[in-house]
Amino acid sequence: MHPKPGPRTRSPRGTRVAAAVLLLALAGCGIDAPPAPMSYGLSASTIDATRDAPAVRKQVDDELARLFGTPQAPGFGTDATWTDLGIDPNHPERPPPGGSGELDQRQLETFLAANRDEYRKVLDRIADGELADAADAARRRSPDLAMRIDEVAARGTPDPRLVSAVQTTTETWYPTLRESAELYRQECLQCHGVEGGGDGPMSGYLVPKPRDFRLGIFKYTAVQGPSRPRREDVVRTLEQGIPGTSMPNYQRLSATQRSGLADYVRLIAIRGEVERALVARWLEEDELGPDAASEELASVWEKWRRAGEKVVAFDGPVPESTPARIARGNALFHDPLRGNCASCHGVDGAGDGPAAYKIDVRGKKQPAYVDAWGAPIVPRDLRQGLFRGGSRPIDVYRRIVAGIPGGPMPAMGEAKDADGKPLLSDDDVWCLVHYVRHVARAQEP
Amino acid sequence: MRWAAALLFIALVAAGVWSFAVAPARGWWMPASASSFGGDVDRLFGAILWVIGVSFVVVVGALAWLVVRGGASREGRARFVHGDKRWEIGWTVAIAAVLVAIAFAQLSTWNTIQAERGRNGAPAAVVIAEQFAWRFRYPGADGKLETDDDFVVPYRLVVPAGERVVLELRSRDVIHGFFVPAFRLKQDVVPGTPLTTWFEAREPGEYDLLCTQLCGFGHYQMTGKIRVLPRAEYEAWLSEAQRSLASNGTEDRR
Repeated sequence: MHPKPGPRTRSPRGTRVAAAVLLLALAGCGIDAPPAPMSYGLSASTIDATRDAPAVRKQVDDELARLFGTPQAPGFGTDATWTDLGIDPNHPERPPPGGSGELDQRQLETFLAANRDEYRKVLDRIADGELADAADAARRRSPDLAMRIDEVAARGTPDPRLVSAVQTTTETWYPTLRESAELYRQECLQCHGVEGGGDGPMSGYLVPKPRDFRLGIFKYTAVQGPSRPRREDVVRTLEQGIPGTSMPNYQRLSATQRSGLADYVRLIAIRGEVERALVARWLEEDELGPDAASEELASVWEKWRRAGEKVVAFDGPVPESTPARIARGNALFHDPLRGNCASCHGVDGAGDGPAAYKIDVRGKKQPAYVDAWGAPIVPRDLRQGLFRGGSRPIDVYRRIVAGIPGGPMPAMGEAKDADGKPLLSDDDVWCLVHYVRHVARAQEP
Repeated sequence: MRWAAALLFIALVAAGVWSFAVAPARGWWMPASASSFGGDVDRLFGAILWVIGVSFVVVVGALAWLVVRGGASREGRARFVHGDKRWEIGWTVAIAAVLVAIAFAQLSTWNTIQAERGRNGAPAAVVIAEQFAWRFRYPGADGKLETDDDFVVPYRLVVPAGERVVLELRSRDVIHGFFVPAFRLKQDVVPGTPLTTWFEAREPGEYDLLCTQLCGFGHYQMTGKIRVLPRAEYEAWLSEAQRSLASNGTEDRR
């Protein structure tokens, strides 16, 4: 039996129209449009404050552009104070004449090793005398390095001394702020935003929210807060990531690139701080003189320059984790007059202590504190073993001694009792460290 | 028209065969096998590739032939055939025989990779998979995992060469896939289910580690490295890393 042909469900014309639509849709794919030029915008609070003062808003915007450039050409505006400080923030790797420089020998050696690995192909071609090929090999990773090699290659047959100079340039290459800004665009901007406001397109989907750098507050550092972070602190976060958040580690980048990214984060953080300071100054004094922005930059810069002065460290070997110390840490953790940790972190360390929560009008439990960025903040559930600032004993020690800037975690190293005596001795803090790490160990998956 | 359709089929066969023939020479192939069982996996893969390659050529060739023979431009109606028992038994038995042969041929390799995973001793490290990073927990100076002196490193798993390395795989959140292409090793990491896997890296070197289960928006960047070191260097690395746990922070002072 032959099956009867069924009625046509689709006319040939309909098929043709569908195919045309599909082709048109596909034609839009695969076109590599160059990214639209970006520009730094003003923060929501600035726009809000200057709603009725367009002239001031424009002045702030212009001054910020003068002092920090654009995302395509970022850089600290030249100012006499830089040379006085002996530091050129636009070239951290190059100490100005008579200056001390920002990067120490150990860091420079790390970068040398990282570059030899990163630019192995480039160095091979330089060794073969193929400078044009070397520039091509460098272009994707470092356009500015490629440009420097191109300049030499354009002079024709290079003599051996020039070749060895190019080799040194490549081995000691340190990313320019422009390159780091481009890397930031590729790796960080999606969450942290163009201005580092923590408001990138992905930010709405993340818990916790990406950090807004513009307050100049960084939570996980090796320094006593509320000081600014050292470059190494930001680099360490890039190396380790922040477990338990959406911040991944960036070990697939080279050590040199990570350091460059930290420099760029510093630039946009300082830009944000200067922006806030300018608006605050205008609100207070009702006008902004021509030197206002430069003065604010100098005072913000001073905070960043002094970041390395108060490193939290312990002289002497770290006391061992013994059952006795853990037991003592347990007692201090729960003692309301000493550690008082349980009041927020809870009896079991689950982050459910009564002091951290309030009951709202509907009778629901809500976080009692907001952090410096305005987000409700809950104490860490220590049992999860997620130490955002690192899980080494010294990392936990730093969190306890220096507190966590931007949130309610206090600096216990500075806490005094009614008689002005320190609440916790160094050994007490180590007991707490070992107890907290012990609690975490018992539960981590 | 039917010749065009037949040519399309033949072009498909040619493109398929050509791409597999030239891929290894052009570096479009898998990375060289670097683990003890990688060679077995490759041999199985090669054998199965031959079986499906030949089937592919035969089936698509037959389709091309049928298009030419039975194209619509011929006169008369097509003959309706309900089936032919001998043919059907023939091809069912043939396919079943091939599948059973493959099933038996892969048994020992499967056994080596999967069934023996628990018989190679205690884990050297715990792999912690989380959105979107790999972290590795190593035993501290006491040589035991799950004690207070364990330490955690991100991104890079360091293991000794030429030895069986057992790993415990754990996930903090969703399913991840622990995939080391050069080792021909792929094992899902399932939350709430501690699993073990093992490998023996033949040569020192650094190998890629990838996540092969779509685990969220950052899946693409959930990568890592496996650094294989000679035994002595591995031990030096381990004790150096254990020492860093005892850091008192003074190295951060200028």
